Amino acid sequence: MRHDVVEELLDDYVDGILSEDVGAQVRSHLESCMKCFRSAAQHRALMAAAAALPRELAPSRDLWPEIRAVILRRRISPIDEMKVLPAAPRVPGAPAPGAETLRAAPAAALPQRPWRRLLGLAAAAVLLVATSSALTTVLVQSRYEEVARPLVPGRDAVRGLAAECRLVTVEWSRGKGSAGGYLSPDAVRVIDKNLALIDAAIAEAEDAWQGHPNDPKLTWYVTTAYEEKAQLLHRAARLGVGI
Amino acid sequence: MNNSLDGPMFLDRSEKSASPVLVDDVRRAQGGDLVAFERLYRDNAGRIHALCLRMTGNRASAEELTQEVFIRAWERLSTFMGRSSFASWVYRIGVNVSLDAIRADRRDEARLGMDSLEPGGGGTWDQAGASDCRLDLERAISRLPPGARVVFILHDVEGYSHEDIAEMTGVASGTSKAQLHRARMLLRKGLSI
Repeated sequence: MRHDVVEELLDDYVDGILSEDVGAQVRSHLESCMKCFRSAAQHRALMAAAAALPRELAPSRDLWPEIRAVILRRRISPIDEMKVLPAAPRVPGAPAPGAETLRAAPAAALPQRPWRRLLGLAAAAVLLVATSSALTTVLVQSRYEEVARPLVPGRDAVRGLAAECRLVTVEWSRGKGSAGGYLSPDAVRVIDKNLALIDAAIAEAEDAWQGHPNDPKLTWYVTTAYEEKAQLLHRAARLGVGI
Repeated sequence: MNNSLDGPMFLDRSEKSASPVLVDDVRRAQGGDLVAFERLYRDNAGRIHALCLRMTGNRASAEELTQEVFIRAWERLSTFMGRSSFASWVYRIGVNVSLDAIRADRRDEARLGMDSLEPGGGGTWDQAGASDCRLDLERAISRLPPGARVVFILHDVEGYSHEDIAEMTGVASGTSKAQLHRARMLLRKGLSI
């Protein structure tokens, strides 16, 4: 094998990704060419040094407090931007609590085909019904308390969310019937029905909250319900116009 | 370029089967448990920080990017299906975040009319408490041109194949090979190997 050809193949040779036949030809050349032999040895020395570098290097400071603060400040939830309350009574046919439930309608994994996007949305809607039903079973020990406790909003914030819900409801109402939309009439009916159930749950929670406006957990439940409704409506409105 | 972070398997030299505790932490974190997510962070922060530090050659940037990686991981936890280990999955996010930062640097570089990106790696490695040889190599890596640096880190340091690198970075595997050759030659020259 020619010297210039071997030079080109040297990286692949030391990486061990040449075919047996070609590798043997390179090896044969190395036995007679000191320059290539030395070059291969130097490559290997560099590779060994690189492979020996530590895989872990600790940051100079603990980054967790800042990461946690950002997560709490942005109110990010890993559950497809929706916080599912624990101990929610199961709706017949709804997925059981656990991993499968949490995987419903992952935002980044929503497939592009409309019917599959619709399935994700329908799953989210069912999930929301289960979630909203939990509004009647307050004062439970919540595994989301760490997220929720520092974020209990005031009355103004709740009223703001309610106003936002009204706005996105209008957006949804306009988008769902648009020509070329991704949602079939049946899907729109299902979502509307679920939204009505959520509204009923919100109304019930609002009543309880009006009686105990200083109860932080009731405040949080009302807020969360409004937020989730707003998020579902935003998504439904986008899907409704095929975005 | 595959946008699914949980897609093809990118098994690296540290890949190991996840312990039941780790799997449980992932499930808990997917349910919104920040304490479980903190444990996942502590298990993986060193590796992600090492990646970001080598990719950027800048300690401050590396710490910012490490934070960004875990915030992004939290946001996308619902998309993690467990087909790879959590470590692999979050590492892939680390690669993407680092690449985004490098591309942004390149855009800034182009906008400012700079000739080449020379990361401020000199001082970054001074206090790493490592051997001279290791520090020399770390500094030399940080001075590589971005494209060659990325491929060298992923291939020779982390053990990914050219096909994996092509998948992760969006370049052709032939380009990855060419960048690796360039990186090795520059490092040999810089280190007088």
